[in-house]
Amino acid sequence: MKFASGFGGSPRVMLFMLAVVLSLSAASPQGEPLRPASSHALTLVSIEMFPDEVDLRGADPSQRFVVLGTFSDGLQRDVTSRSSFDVADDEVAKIEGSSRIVGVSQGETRVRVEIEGHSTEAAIRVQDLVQEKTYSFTRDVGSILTKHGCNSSDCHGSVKGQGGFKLSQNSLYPEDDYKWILEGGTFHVLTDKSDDPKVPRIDLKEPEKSLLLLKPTMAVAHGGGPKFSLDSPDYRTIRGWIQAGAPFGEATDSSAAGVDGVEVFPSKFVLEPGGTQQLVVMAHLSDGRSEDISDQVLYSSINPSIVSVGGDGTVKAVGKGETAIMIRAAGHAVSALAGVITDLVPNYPSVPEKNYVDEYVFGKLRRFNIVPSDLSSDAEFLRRVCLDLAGTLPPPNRVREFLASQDPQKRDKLIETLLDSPEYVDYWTYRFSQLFRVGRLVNGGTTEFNAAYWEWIRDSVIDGKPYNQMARERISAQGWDGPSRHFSRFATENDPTGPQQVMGEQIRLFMGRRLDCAQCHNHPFDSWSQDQFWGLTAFFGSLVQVGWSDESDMVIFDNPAGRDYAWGQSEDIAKVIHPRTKKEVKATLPDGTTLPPERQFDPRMALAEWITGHPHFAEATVNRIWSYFFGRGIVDPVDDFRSTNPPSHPDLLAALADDFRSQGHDLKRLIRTIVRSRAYQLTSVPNETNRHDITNYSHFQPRPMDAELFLDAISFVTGVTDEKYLDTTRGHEPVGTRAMNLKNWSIDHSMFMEVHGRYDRAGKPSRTGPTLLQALHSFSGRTYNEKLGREGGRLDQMLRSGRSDREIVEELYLLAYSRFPSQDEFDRLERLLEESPSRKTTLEDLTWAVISSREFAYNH
Amino acid sequence: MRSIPALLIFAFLSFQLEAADPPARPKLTSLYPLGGQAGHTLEVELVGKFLDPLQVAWFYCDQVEAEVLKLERTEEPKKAAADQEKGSETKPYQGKYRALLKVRIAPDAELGAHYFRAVTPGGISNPLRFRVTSEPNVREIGAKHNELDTAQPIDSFPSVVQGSLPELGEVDFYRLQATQDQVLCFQVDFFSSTAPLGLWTMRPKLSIHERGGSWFDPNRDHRLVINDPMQHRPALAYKFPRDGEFFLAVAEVSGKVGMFENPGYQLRVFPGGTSGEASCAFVPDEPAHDGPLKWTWAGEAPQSLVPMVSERDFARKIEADWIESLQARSVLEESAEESGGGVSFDSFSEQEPNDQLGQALEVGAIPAALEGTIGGPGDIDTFKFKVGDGALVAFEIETPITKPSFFVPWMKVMDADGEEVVENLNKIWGRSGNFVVKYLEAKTTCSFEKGGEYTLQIRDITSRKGGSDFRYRLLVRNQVPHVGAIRPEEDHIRITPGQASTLELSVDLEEGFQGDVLLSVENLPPGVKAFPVVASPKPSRATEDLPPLRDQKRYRPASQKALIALMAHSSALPSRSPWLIDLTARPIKGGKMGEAFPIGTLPLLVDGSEKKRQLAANR
Repeated sequence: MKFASGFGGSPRVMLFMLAVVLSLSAASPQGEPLRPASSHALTLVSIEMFPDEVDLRGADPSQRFVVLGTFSDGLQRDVTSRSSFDVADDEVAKIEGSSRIVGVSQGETRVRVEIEGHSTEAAIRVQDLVQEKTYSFTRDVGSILTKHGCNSSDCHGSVKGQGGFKLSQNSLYPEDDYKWILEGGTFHVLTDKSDDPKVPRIDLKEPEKSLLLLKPTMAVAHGGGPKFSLDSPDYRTIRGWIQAGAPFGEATDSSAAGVDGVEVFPSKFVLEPGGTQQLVVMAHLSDGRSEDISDQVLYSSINPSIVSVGGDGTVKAVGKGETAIMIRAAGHAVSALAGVITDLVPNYPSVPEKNYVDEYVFGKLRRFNIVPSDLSSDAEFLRRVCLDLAGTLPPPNRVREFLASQDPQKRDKLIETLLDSPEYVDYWTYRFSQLFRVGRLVNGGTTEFNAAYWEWIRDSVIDGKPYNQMARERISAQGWDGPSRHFSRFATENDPTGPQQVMGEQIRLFMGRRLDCAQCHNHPFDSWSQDQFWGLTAFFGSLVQVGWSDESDMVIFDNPAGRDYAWGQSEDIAKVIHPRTKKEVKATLPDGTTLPPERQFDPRMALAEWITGHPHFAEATVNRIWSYFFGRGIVDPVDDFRSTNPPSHPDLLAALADDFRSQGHDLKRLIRTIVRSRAYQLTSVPNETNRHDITNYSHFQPRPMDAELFLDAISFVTGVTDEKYLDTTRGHEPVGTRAMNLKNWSIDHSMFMEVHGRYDRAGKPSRTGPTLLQALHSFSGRTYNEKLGREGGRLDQMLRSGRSDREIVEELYLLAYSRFPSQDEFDRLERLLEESPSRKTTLEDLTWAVISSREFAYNH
Repeated sequence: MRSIPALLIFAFLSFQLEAADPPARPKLTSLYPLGGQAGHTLEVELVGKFLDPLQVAWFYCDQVEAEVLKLERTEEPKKAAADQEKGSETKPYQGKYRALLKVRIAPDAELGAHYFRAVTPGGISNPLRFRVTSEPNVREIGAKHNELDTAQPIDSFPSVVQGSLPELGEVDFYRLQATQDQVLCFQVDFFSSTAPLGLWTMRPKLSIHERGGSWFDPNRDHRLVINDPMQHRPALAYKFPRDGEFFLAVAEVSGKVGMFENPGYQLRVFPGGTSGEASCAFVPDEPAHDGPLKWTWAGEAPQSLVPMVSERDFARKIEADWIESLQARSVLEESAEESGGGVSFDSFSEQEPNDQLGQALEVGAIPAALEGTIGGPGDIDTFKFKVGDGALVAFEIETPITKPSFFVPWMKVMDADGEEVVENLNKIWGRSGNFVVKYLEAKTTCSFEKGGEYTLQIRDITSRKGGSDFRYRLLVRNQVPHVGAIRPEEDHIRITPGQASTLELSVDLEEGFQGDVLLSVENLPPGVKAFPVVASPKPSRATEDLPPLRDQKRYRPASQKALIALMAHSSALPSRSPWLIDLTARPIKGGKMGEAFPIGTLPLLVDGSEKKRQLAANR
């Protein structure tokens, strides 16, 4: 990204500014048409086969294999169809089709695969073969319903179901599905009561007349169309299950073992135009075995304009880009990341790695044939890391010192200095004040509520408090001190938002998940049920306050007797009532654990322990922190983790989360790891291969400064602190307080900050991106204009001290951009100053132009 | 019984209606400095409204005296002139006055808060607090000292700095020299104690800083410690980590104190012992002497008074003679009979572990004082006691060290089946039933239908707090019907010769006291008479029309209103200074009269200016 750096004529030209500002909103290119990859001679370097060990059991067991070849250009390609398979002992197993092995009789053998002089083997064990299948509703019927999308969110798995027939999405609740099929009946969203006649959807006496078979074969009208034919294996499976008496399936039966997890191979891959990739999906069973379920799942491409996927799991390149393949199995979902590249880089450079972050980031770039940009210049790095760690521009003397230093360790040393600086405390207090929503309108009536809450955050940052402890203190806050103030508005009992809103916020904030949909029905795109939503909500169902002499003495606590309600309100308002069953819900964790009696006085601590101990907590935290440095999360938006929004770098996310968890949830350590990486320190100037990349961290993505930081930066450059954001009627911060250190969001009003998208802590969406108002504000706003020539301000002091034009220009550049002006910039500015009738006015204009430029307004 | 006084009052009130409008009551808003050193004389600036003519600045005791040196309007004369030009009529001056007082503090003046009030023909103003200290007083320098480089030095300890924060968001910095491990104690008192600031309470902020600089800014300070922003009256103790220069910052949490005239503060800096905060002798926020003040001013309505410490405060001391002291406010035979005759009680200290019902400490029959400590988060203490059939029992909790809202003791009593019988969590409707307000009460009463053994559990209301300072003393005793707190609705009486005035009082009847209360006034000035009590039921508030959430008899006493009429003879001599009158009460029941006990004192002003005005008008 290039920044405006030339100044011709009067800089205050509205059209110029509008052009500058509005150009910031240029859309990112997406979905480019495919061009053929560069063709050059490739040689196969190595191969690998998946799975490398197979255990075949039960009726008609089989396993699909996939072979990946690594070529001389560094790319992996699916070479399964070009490979030859050979089973050592065909009495034990045989090959079916090109790459499927079928168990024949009990025993052990090996399958060997060979291609272009490379070979590898996998072990095969066949045992416990049976002639007659033992049915499990979940595994057999649930899989078929899932595979054909019958229980998808746009069919019977939708909120209301279809035609009165409701299935849990993805067969998440097989007991419920079983009941609806066996007993029949019409589903209603708002109640579980129904007077409608119940007609079973299967006929045990005449299985072929079961609705469960007549509808998908279109023997009777079916809005969903045909799903399978009369001679299909799926038809036979369901018919067989009904003939067997439609059992739910015994948990003790090994063939009915539950599925603990699902895995796809390969989980990430890159295709060239026209390229294909076969997927293999394995179910990991509760009895320790694994089973090929590639034919029992539903495949779908998140972005079919990039890759398509067939019902057999074959992925095909369509257009350039990156997307995910969703694989839905009964009760489980998993995704594989797929990328399509066009331009192969013939001599991909070797990229140095600083730490494990680089290993994952650059590893993916390599797979995608995207070359990372160069390391940032010292000036670029200095400005960026100061803003990102301390929210503060470096002073000119530090810029000179850093740029002049020849110390090879100077970047790491600077990072340590910044991490230990009081400005780090200021900045991360500000960050967490935003995140935890410190604000008078949010936290209740008094300024001291804010102050107490803000001070708790500040102390936590100073003390380097482990983030899981910080989260526990916030979620479970009781009493009168800092974090408890977060709940003060809610705890006034008749808050219309109810405990469900408070619960939802905690899960968004600390687990990165949006549960809101599950308030009214099972989550349509994720595995959160309505029961889980209300079970979690009930943890906040006893959150109340006891008042003392005035509201500032208000003490937050949990009363096992529950909340109270306003005069005339239903008693149910005070309880957590399941909207569908109309029954009171007890605090229940998603795994069904209920609160023991001894914890009734402190339910939120139990929840806090569960949240902070859950893998989602560390994942969500590292993702959020990562987003502060790269402008987007590995999962983006950062609070929208779901199966249909997979991470761009799942391995990196897992590694960061593991590291964070194992190192005591140490935020500073996490931040250090991120900013020390080369990935963070890449320049924002793109190269030919990464110009259009916005998701893979191939170059630094410039981003506008937060409103508070921007205001502070202007104050810093002009040497004039802002006093106008202070509200004189309800509160007042000390003169000279930096915007970043304001405690009372919603009181400390500032037109400048509102215009520049100050984060709204009350929860309303903030304006993002450049606006016309911002442009107009820069022309006529007080912040930009009144500070320029203020007596005692930076420019005034420089003029009084007799500095030359060159010295003043250099100082301004160091202040604003953390770099020296180029010779060209010097020459042009000198000409401008020579021609101007008023040196002071022109220097004011220059200052204005500097603080109005994109190079200044952006962190880059 | 009511007819004669009622008629008298009616007659007097009717008379008053016909009289000319009296001059407005003076109102004080601030003073500077907020106090002085015993044995010294100093000039004090006072700001308020309706102060002209200021007769006297009157203290409750003769240890502190004030002389009015000067009185002037705070408004610019040209503004007044402009107003005069604009308007056809000249309106009475409504602006503020600034008075300069010379205050003499006797060498033996009691240390602590002394209250004073301005007296004008309009009456007696609201009080302001003037704190007398033993330490040398220094005044804040005139120049700004809002950063480290301009910080005002405090050269010696102990000392008291008289400062003010007249600008919005102002911070005052003070420079100190400390030695390693030295403990210094800081206590700041703001001006607002009884100034009419409405619902807003000032929250002083104290913090200690050191120079340190940062990579970004070599002049940046490092904040080492800050007081809890939730404290109304901060007291900060700090053990200095090294020898050297440190800085103390004084500010107000919201920064808006500068909206007020003369927003003064008084900062005490004194050395502590080696044990940190515990060794700091912080001055409690209590009057210097008990004599004239049994009440303090209610924050939201500065004119009305509340008892300094009532029997329903967690702060009261439940000592060995507690039951006896309650009986003294009753009719002896009755209370002795109804309370089962027991006035002495044993104390029982909890023994851990006792979180579970089965681990209760058995204390036997009541009365009994249960003592213990909520030693840590989630700690519960359990006791068992016995009562007889139909027992009327009172539970009184004292928190001798840490008080609400820091330690909020929550008590529950359960029967043998574990069913809750009573708890001290009270609920009332807030804002006409819009929501429920909960209170943890220091006193709860209960009628036990069935006699037997009951279990009592006490804990902090949170599961987060606890410690050695979370001590409680819980007295379980038979109820003693008695006269409770008595509160005047006004904080002074102004009476004109030849006219009448009234004083309304609220009388609490505790634990089912059914008798009458005779209220009398003594030490009246010559020519002024008082008429006996007229009792009437207290009118209920709107929210009390709603069905109660809890049986309020358990948590609140019955209350009656009483009206005392006072009449000044036309020959009564007007006084420049108020006259302190004594109020006493005496319970009456079943034809028997209990012992008289003092209620407190009130200032009474016999004002002659009205009479002069009327005489002048008649001529």
